[in-house]
Amino acid sequence: MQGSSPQGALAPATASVLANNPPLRAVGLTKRYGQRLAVRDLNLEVRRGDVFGLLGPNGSGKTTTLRMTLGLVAPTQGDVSLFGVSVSDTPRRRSLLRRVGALIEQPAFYPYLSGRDNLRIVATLSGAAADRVARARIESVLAQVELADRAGDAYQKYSLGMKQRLGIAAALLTEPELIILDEPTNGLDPAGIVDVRALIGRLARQGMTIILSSHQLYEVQQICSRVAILNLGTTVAQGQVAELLAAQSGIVVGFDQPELTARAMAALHAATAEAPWLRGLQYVAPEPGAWVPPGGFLIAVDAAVERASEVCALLARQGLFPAELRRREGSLEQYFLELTGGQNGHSTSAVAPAAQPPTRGGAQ
Amino acid sequence: MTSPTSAPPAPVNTGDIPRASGGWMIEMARLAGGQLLLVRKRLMTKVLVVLLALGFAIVVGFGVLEYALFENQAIFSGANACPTVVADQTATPQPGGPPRCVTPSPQEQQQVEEARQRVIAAERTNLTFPTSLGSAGGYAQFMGLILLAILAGALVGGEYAYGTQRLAFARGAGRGQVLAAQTGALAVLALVTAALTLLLGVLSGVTVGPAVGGTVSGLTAAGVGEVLLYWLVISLVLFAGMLIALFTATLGRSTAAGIGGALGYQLLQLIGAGLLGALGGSIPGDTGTWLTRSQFLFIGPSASLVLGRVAHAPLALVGDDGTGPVAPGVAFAVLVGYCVLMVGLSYLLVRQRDVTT
Ligand SMILES: Nc1ncnc2c1ncn2[C@@H]1O[C@H](COP(=O)(O)OP(=O)(O)OP(=O)(O)O)[C@@H](O)[C@H]1O
Ligand SMILES: [Mg+2]
Repeated sequence: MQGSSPQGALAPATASVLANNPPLRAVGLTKRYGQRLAVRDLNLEVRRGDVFGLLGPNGSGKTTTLRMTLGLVAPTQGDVSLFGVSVSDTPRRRSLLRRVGALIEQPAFYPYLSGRDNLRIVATLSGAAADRVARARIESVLAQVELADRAGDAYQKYSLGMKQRLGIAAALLTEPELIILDEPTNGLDPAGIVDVRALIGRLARQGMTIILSSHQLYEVQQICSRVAILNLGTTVAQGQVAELLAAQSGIVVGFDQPELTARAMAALHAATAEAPWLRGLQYVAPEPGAWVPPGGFLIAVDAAVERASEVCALLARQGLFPAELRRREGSLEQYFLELTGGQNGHSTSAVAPAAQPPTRGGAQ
Repeated sequence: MTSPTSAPPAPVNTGDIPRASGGWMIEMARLAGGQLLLVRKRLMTKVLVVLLALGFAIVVGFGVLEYALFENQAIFSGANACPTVVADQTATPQPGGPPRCVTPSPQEQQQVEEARQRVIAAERTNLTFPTSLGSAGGYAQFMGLILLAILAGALVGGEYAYGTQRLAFARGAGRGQVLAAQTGALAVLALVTAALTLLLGVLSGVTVGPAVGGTVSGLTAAGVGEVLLYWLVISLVLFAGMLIALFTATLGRSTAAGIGGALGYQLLQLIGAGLLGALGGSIPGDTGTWLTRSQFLFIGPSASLVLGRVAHAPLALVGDDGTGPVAPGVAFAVLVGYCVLMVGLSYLLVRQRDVTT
């Protein structure tokens, strides 16, 4: 970003600072709405080139965090910076946010304007002149989100998915370096979801940094390089998707009688003292489509996959022979649910397993 | 990931990306342009313009009707054939009974005829350019103000209703910048509406005027000056009215609050200024003077005073000559003060407010 760059408002010194700093960093970010603590002491770092997944249950503070990032909401405490410059630095916020494209929850547009005119307004709001360049770019982003043939229709006549697409088009309009998409596939049909996924992949390959907030965990697992998981307004996990998943993998053991499952849990628990590689134990529900033991629960053994035979030996000493023993693949969904206390988690403490498997909630 | 020493490659500038350019003022002007585009594209605007023109046609129509009634002596052909003027002048009304009719003497008939001719002449002048501009200006301050209050309320309140304010803020536009753009757009709308209404006055003045026997006269340089000042002051009055809508829409974060606030003010002014004027007139001494003066805290009375000052000579677009209980300068300061106050209060509201819609 040299001084002659299109963001002419930035002095060269500023520009070099911006180039070397993470696109987004939040430190101790806190937001209180009256009595409600929406975000508390949140730390986040998005690196250049990341496709960053921002995950969390409803109300965990994802949107509030993104609003603070865009200067829409003022933090109660802490700070969020874009490219190394604090968003609360109002004079520089303008030139900063010009480098960010965002879609926050439902898109907001003027209902009586056509899709095309709405984008014209967005171009104006971005500080761009309503010239030939802007018009050409508008047509190009409309084509990218496959809205070109409906661009003349009033926004109020769009379907939910079309509105969402226009929101994405607006985020792309100024070809930003950082794109923030808060639940972009909300309301899209399956083909639309695949399209958005492909679009995100394309943008990432072009070197854009993307922050994606989504509840589609499978999708996030596929396209994100790094994720942060939020719960109750703060980050409970953050890191490379591959690493988080690797840490998740382990061994799953299942029995064809519930009593055997309980005995196996007790036996393995008793063995934790002599087998330090046995890092944890918990009851887990089988994944959809997998074998369901009579009690409904399997035992997830938090140990390296190579220890499978030793697990078998430990159980055999007690006369227990599993009906199923297999490698447990890490899944973001499983991890997410465990961290955020979702229904399928049923996590028990690693050292104090419950004598009884938890009652099966809504699982399966 | 990115080491501090090696800057990552800057994104390729393909040259076909709309980019921010220009300083604060230029951006603000573009934002204002965006607001005006919204106004232009709205169906509501077209409806309001039609209403403005239609209302004006009706007002001119009534003027013509009045003229025609007097011209054809229709005023004397009532069911009782009892000319009210004569009845008032000659008969002492009996308590509870109708006024006594008498046959007017030739002298009295002469007086009535003169009065009739005066009304006809006045109506003719009002309908003819350039005095027709005066009626048009009066119309702008009434109907124009109502329509503009609706438009301003919808424009500012719509941002909250549609959640579109974040479009600008999330792109880094400042709170003050957006407010300035809205204010600028409202100023343009006030100027355009006042000009449009005066233009209607010109059109009717050169067509309807001659049709009722009026003589269109050209404007001297001083006349042009008077018209220009008249236009500007009317625009200021409209602007102040719209800024009330801006403030109340911002306060209530809705279109309804904007329209309700601006129209509510007009109602309050009607009652408040009327009451203060009446009380001031009936209470002797300093208190009365003070009350009479305080009605000029309202936009309407102050506007009339300033308009009288700028548009009484040479064309007499306004009948009053701008003398009153307060100086025209004070009245002008009141008008400007409203504008500053409304924008200032709005700024205090939006400056720190969280945008969560
Ligand atoms: N304007 C507001 N006033 C008061 N509380 C708010 C406001 N906006 C959000 N909150 C609260 O802040 C918390 C976080 O909300 P937020 O919208 O950030 O969650 P989220 O993670 O985006 O959820 P979702 O997945 O449902 O979109 C919630 O408890 C919510 O009720
Ligand atoms: Mg949300």
